[in-house]
Amino acid sequence: MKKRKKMNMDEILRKYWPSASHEEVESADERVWKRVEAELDKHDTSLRSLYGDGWSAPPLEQLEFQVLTAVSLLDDRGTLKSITAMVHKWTGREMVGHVYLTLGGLAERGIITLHSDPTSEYGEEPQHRFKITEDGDRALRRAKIEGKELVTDREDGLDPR
Amino acid sequence: MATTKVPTIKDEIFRQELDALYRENFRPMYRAAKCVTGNRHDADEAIEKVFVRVFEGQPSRVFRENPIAYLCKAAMNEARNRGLRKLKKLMTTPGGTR
Repeated sequence: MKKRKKMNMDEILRKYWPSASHEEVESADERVWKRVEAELDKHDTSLRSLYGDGWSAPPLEQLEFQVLTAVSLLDDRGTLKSITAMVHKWTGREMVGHVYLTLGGLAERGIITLHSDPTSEYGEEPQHRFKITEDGDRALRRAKIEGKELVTDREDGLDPR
Repeated sequence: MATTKVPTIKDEIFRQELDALYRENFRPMYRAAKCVTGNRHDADEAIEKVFVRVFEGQPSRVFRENPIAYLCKAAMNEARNRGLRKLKKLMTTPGGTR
């Protein structure tokens, strides 16, 4: 009796799996990509990534979000004092130490930049001013999409809004 | 607040990632989908649907671990579902095959 030749999986697939011609695959490739691109244009994917946590913008903790929003709102006037005052309105707490540390962390991550005040006079201690970077702007947009709120922990019992 | 969307180079990152993913995986996906559907029209639509789902949602753990396996399986599932929907429609249409 003739012994049946055993086939491995690769051989089975090559023999029985229907294969499309090179030309057919090429034309389908272009056709489908055009349709995918048309769909892609309808979506805002500026903060998306296919890898990692799915975002191309850095994540923010709650206090980082508040501090960064203050930096963004104050623009050229963002000093430690003015930023702390603004954050105080949202948190209901004096937290200059936390704000200081948070600003340092954000600057290290490249989310904000630090500048010395050019208007300070000779002999006067120059005030540092903070500015948001492009990455910071993206981080803020991500935090908003994630639903982060500015006002937290009001101890005076007032409605946060 | 200064958070209005300004197009930047980084906005292109996602499109480039998707483009690379598509170029690397289209061929096996197409073969898998066409094998299930038996026609190129449905295979095209199945693959399109899979990629739209990829960029509409967040990447799953399975996708991150093995993109090609995820995409081929998704293409086959989508192709099979399309086939089943067509069959169901055919069976419920008056005069359709029962």
